[in-house]
Amino acid sequence: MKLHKSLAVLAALLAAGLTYAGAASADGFFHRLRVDSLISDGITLYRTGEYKNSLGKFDAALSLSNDNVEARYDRGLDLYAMGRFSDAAAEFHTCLQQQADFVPALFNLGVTELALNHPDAARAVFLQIINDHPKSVRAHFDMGLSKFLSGQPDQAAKEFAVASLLHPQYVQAHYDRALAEYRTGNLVAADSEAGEALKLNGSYAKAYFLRGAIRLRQGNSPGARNQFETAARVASDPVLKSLCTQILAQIGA
Amino acid sequence: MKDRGAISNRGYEEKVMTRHLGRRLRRALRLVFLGASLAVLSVAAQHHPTAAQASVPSAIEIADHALNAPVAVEDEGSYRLIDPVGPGGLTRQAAIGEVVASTMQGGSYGDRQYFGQYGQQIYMPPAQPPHSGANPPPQGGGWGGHRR
Repeated sequence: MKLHKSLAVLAALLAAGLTYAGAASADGFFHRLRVDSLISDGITLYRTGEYKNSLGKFDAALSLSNDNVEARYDRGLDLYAMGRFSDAAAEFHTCLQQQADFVPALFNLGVTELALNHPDAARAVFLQIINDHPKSVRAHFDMGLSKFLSGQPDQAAKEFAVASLLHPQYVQAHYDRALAEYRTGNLVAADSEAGEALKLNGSYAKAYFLRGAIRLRQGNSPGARNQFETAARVASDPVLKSLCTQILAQIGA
Repeated sequence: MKDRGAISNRGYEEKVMTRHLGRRLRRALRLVFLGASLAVLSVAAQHHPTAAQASVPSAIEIADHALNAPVAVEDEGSYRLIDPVGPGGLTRQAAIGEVVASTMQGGSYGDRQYFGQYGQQIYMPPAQPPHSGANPPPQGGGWGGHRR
């Protein structure tokens, strides 16, 4: 009799426990669903350029789940898009405090430091990524930008060279290397890299413009004229076109 | 008295002659000085551009000015940041893959940074709204484009 009573109590307790766990699990499930739905809406709005509304969705998601790294990361993208670079950097920092190995947040922090014109901070970020992932073409490329901004064109040229070696079809890496070499005064290397960029993209107006400047420095006016004329023809940027026109007027016939 | 008068007249004439010679000499010297000054100014003008000439930059100056602008360097434009992560966005692994990959994923090749963005820094401001081409306009600040 006693045994039966004990078993009944145990069964009742088990049933109550299961019911409570089920309810808690259901709550957790719906809570998670709500957060995911807000993040999904936020991403959709971000992609359509509605940053303010998108930000509202991520704020709501974070109010339900303050430690949600994804919502915080995506919020950082919105802030960047709105030009609030300091706030964006703060969000990416918080993401990294919560999850130190979340490398997309680290990378975006580096890009944001560049936007803030903090090349030294950006360099530290990209160096950290390169140390952990030596073949990261993006990290080498952005390290090149950081060094270029820091007034180290020779060092920048090396980083762009690594990026273009890792990914030979990377047109911007060839062009940026050419520009960095031009800054160092190495016109032969600059010309060669601008040529590589043009092999990959025959309508790359800025590469023609750079080649025109190289020809001018080499004292080759007819060659320069040819490059600036091509740049003016293929450029879709009206300012680049007008620059070419001014230069052509100065070079003369 | 007559002799004294004759002597006196001669002295007077000598004085007048001397005065005339002095004037002529001074005029000649002035002319020489003026000529020399004009010659010097003429040579200087040949070697130094006038103010109007100095305001027109040379071809290499225009090119270098443009190439020294921040916008001369290229970035990833709208592919600058790694995409959103989460439901409806990238998975965490895909986002990490974008950072650590040895090849560009989703990159776009070509002109990403427009000089028009920095029109006032270049010699000629844009005459019409920039970014009329196929490429999307760069937005934001700093190094230009960002991911929407």
